[in-house]
Amino acid sequence: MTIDNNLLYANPDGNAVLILHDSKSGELIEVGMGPKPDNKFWVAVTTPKEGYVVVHSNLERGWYPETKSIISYTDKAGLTINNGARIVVTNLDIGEFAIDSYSVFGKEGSTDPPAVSSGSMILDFMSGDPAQNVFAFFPFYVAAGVGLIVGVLFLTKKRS
Amino acid sequence: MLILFMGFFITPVFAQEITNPSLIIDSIEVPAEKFNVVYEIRQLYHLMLFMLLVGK
Repeated sequence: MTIDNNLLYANPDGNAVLILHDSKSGELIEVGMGPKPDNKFWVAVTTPKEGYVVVHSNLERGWYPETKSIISYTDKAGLTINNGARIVVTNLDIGEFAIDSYSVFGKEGSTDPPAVSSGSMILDFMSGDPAQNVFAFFPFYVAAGVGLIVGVLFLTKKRS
Repeated sequence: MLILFMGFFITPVFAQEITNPSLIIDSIEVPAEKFNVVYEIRQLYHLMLFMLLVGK
């Protein structure tokens, strides 16, 4: 999943926070992006055992408006997050996670001024199981077939 | 010879366009107005934490 943050912040204390909710356990992944010039960036997750845990926080140069931030998750490799310049969370084990819904917010309190004045945040999702591609294992089948043929020819070769 | 022969039959397979049934590609544009809200679940979480601390 990529995050292209093109928001124009309305006040220096405003934030743009994206929360991804899990479909079963109620766990969530929270990604927060602050305004210029500091561009603070934080990542938090919730797990049934530990609760709400901030796994990454950078108060200066945390994210880069000219690039996209990337969130990737696989069952085996866990959670990896790239802030647009480097990987800030690497293979974090958060158990099983499947995005059910998302939510966004930007204000800490109801009396706060608007956090964002204009722009948009573009989220691109890509999900899938490579093993369900009918040709995913095709090269391995070919390699096994060629190896089998070579093996049979090697064993049945008539030597003088 | 064998590899050359197999190449004529195997290579065209990769030119077929068969989509992965599990593949989901989606794009969402979240407008600025959506961010001008307070996250209620986080407030509830902090309230619960506060109540637990006070309880102790």
